[in-house]
Amino acid sequence: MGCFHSTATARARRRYPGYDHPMQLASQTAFSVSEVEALFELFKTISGSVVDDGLISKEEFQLALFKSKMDNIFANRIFDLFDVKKRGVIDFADFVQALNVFHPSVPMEEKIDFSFKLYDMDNTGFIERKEVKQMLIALLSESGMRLSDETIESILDKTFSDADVNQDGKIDRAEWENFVSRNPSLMKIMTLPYLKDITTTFPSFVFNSKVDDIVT
Amino acid sequence: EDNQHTFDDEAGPLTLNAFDLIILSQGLNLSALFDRRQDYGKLQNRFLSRKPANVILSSMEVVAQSMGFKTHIRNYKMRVEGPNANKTSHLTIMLQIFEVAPSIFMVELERSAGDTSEYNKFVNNYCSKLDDIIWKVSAEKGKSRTSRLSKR
Repeated sequence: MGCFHSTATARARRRYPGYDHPMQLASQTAFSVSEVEALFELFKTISGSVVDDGLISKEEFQLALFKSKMDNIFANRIFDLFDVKKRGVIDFADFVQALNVFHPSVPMEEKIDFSFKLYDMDNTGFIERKEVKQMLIALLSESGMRLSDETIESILDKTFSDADVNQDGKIDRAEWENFVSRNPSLMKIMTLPYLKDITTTFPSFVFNSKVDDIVT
Repeated sequence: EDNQHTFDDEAGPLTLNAFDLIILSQGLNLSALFDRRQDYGKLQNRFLSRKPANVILSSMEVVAQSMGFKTHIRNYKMRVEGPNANKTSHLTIMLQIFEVAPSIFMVELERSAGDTSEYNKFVNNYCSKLDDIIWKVSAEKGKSRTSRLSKR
């Protein structure tokens, strides 16, 4: 393992707490060193949008996603999953590790895991019917659409009769994997094709991998 | 070619389950993090309808054409394309009809090509002309009218 370019990294860590050297993060993820460098450019923009503390707050995450401050249960849930250390902020290492799951070449198993945790809002190890109802209502509201409770219940009935194989009113990990294999389009949100082009969208100003002064 | 609707089989529009709907949320679209667009506006819209699917489809086709756009339909998916208002650029919109519950359909609109603000202008204009097929559910009967009055 070892320490890559320790003085430059130490300097970066003061400005960006939790920062890890791109070579370190590249070795732990599907990203190349230049892709991690590009992600750092993106991270700098997002983390500095409200408070320039080198960390992404929930508000800064919302701003990056919606271009305005918006309380959205899905974005909040994703934020919570990115915030592995549960400190209410996302550091650069968290950011890269979390986005790794969305990389096109990461195994589907990891994407299925993440999506299961995403929908298991209260971390019970099951996706309960009431959680799906809550999420469905949120989507309808966000879209400016309304359906009667009866109609919502009928949509849930159909979904659960399909997904909840043992009919216990909740979807377990195995049932989710089975359901997703039969409905692969549900996993499209788990892959960001843009991740393969980030070096062009977010060119970093480092022209070689010898990062001596990544903090500008 | 524009008037020929191709239908693969007798089946109606695709039926969406709860999760198909949930993943439409903007909050689950992380690609927005990488979006360097300055013109902040929606790229996707949707509405509900209680009209039969083929009525929804033909209404949408007629209105798009009356606005001067070309349409191409395959099953319950329609591509609308044409120049923008001042003929400076091209706009392409994809529309698709889905079934969410028996006799309840959802139309999903998505910008395929063109300026975001042109797309948003199109949607506003287009949807205002589709009044008779868009189902705007007013608050459930017996509930909100009284609660709205009691709030001062």
